[in-house]
Amino acid sequence: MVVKPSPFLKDSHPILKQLVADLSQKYSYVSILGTDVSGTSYSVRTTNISITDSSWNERGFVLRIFNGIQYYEYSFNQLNEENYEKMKTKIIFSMESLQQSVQKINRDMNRYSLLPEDPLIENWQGSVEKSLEDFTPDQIIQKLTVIKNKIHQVSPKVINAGASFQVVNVSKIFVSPQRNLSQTYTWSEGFIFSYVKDLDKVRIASRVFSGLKGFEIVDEMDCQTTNVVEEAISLLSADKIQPGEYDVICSPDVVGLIAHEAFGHGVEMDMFVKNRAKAQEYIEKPVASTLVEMHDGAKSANHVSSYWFDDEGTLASDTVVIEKGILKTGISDVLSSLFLNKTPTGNGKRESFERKAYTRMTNTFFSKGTDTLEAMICSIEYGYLLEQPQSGMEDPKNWGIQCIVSFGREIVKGKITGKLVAPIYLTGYVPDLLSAVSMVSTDFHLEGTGACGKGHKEFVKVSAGGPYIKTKARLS
Amino acid sequence: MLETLIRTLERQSHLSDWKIKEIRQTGDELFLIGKNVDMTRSKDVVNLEVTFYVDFEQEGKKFKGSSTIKINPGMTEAEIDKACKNGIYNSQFVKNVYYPIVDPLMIKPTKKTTAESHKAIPIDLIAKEIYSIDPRFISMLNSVEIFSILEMKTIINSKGLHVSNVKPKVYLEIITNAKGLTEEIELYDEFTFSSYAEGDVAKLIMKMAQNTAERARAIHTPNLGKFNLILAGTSVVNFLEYYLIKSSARAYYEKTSAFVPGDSVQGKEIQKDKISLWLEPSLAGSSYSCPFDNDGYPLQKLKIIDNSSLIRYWGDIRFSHYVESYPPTGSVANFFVEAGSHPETELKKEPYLEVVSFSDFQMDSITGDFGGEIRLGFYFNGLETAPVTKGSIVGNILEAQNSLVLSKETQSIKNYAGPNSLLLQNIMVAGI
Repeated sequence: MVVKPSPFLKDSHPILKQLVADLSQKYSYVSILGTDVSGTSYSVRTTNISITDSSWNERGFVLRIFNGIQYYEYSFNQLNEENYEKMKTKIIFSMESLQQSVQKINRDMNRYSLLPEDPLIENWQGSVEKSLEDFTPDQIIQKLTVIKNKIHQVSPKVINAGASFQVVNVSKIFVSPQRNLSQTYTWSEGFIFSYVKDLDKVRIASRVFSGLKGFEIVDEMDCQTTNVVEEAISLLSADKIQPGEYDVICSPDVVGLIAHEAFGHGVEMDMFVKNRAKAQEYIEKPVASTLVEMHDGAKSANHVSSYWFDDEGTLASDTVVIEKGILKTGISDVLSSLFLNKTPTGNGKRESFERKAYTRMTNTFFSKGTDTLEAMICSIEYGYLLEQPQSGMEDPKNWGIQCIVSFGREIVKGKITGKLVAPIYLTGYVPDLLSAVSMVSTDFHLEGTGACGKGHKEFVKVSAGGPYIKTKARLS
Repeated sequence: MLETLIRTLERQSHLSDWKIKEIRQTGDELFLIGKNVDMTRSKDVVNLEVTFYVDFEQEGKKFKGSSTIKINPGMTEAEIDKACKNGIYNSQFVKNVYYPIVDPLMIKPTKKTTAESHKAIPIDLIAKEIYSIDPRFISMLNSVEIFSILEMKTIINSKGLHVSNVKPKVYLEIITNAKGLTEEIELYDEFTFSSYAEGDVAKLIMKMAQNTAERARAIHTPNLGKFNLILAGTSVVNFLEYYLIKSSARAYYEKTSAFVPGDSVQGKEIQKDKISLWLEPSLAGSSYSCPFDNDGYPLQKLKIIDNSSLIRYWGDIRFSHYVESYPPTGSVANFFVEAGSHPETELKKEPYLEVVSFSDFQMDSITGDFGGEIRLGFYFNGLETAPVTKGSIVGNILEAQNSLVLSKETQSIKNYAGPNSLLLQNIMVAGI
């Protein structure tokens, strides 16, 4: 079913065109991004039911103006025919006042050139299998309640369980003197969890689900209820790992986290502008095993960060970041590209219309290889299969990496023993980790739940994943 | 807009109660790279959120349904009406145990409007101070992002509650560089505050620059096995927040906390310091300070843990109602932990590893597991102290809290005031 575009943005289009045209008389570049992101989040837990608007919901505008030296932006969400002239005056006044304030700090200005834009008028619409419009809130809550109850039924040790689901429609338009672009698509994500208790010990296990999907994602959640309890119960008896370097196999979601933290953040080219990325010294140099190929791009896969144009009106692309272990190029927003004299890759993304655009990842993954998971397990004398990533942190300047993984399954003499260690901190130097990749499986899976921050803010939707990989890693 | 929304809500049928949260933000943003200005931005936005409440009874038991939607500025009255009807329709499928909403007749609400200031902190004032530091350290500034806004938060509900708070908020992100032994290194930090006193920002930058210089000459963290660990700075907040989260009515109700009033929150065999923790809604300079919570419930300073003994649960009106034994405290974002009795020099008498910066310190409030990769630490082997980097620490608060020692020196960062550092024994330090 084709996703319907936003009536709000359709109605706003004429006034936005007028604003761009009026301001273009005074300024050499003016563009505006309009966003209407609307979704609903449904959650059923043992102790609580909720229906709320999605935290991703936003509706507003961000205007970009070139003042001859730099690009200024104004974020706002109140524009109509009655306040049009007042808003126009307010925007110019705000820009000039801020320029005067900035002069007081007596700093030089980075100088930018005029953004080149080819003329383009285009409209894109995505589709989903099961539109949410076909289901009532009652049906959705009932379905999630069934899943929650199934989790409880697996074991009396379950003290709290839940299932949540949200579906989000994204509509955006981009208007500049050269461009009139619009796009609409839907993504959704689901989450199930169980808390289990034994004496004073409480452990949690969860499963996540995501994609350019509608209500069909809830069916996927329904299939994992037993696993989420069995895993939590196994964690009750998990041991701590003895710190050290081990042969490890990383599951596709852990691989996604590594790709994301290692050479995702590391090749964001706004970091090149700030001289914060070691990667810029390593272009066309080996950084990983020859088995490693890595992509990022809104067009590189069909997942939650697949779009036709980014938040700066640049068309999406598929970037090969690492090819046969050689670092090929970075990803970029349009202003970083302008500054570095590079071609933009369509990676300029905003947390919302209220925020600045930065270079951000989209769908980031390692390509699949030729090995089987069974062969990978058989090849390990002593090591771990790492599953369920929790969080990660990048260090693009010094290529350090921290990934927290929920647990590792012990492998002894080519067999999984059933013993679990948890939690696991995977740390180290990125090229060491990736250069040690010795096997890559034929599997492939992407996941895009949660959000990716830049530093500790600017959260955007991304997906990450890949195959199983075998490498050596420092675990603690 | 607000009047139209209230008018629309008042004429809805099948609605027991409603609540509006409005946040208006205006402000400027400045992005600097090295010594240069790279970009400027401004914002002027209004965000409105409405919660619908529908009370009902089934088999003699009272329930409350609710749903929350965002109302966008510029919506017509007809669009608002449609959105409200949709929200009310959704609410009837949410079946939660009954709880009341804030009623001004039952509580002493805060003044209708409170304000810490009616002006945003001038962005040029902050930027000027950053670049006023010793020129040797200015060259270490890689990039700076400054966000300075004025925020007005208003809560209105159908019981007649109407409270507003106006406050400035500043967010600073700072990256510093220094030439290291083999390569250039960086440190990252962020700061939030709501009041400005000359010299405060420069002090933050100078401390960061000094730490960056230390990281530049740092050696790899050795494998220390189980060792004395001192946490300093932000990780102290994350560590002690465990006790705040576990003391909440919500955690108790959802069975993720076993804390019981009257019992020790640190277990039975406390060998060193005992924790005393307060809710502090008006923490000076905190961006999170507010005289009321998101339900409009008035907030007060209140002791929750005294000498490791849980006095009471804290929580918003809903979860406090569920736990029953204690009246609500409201949901308070700031907390204060009383200082320990030992100066930091005493914490550092025996060999130790002090970590002042992690890649990302994590504390799991369910299991008590904590850890992180070391960006900058100081290792004292009993004879001399050296800056160290890389490697990681891993521990569990349930095993570590018996030996907890809190510093006498205090700090105030983000939503926290309390000990500057804390000492834990027998924490696994994995080096390189």
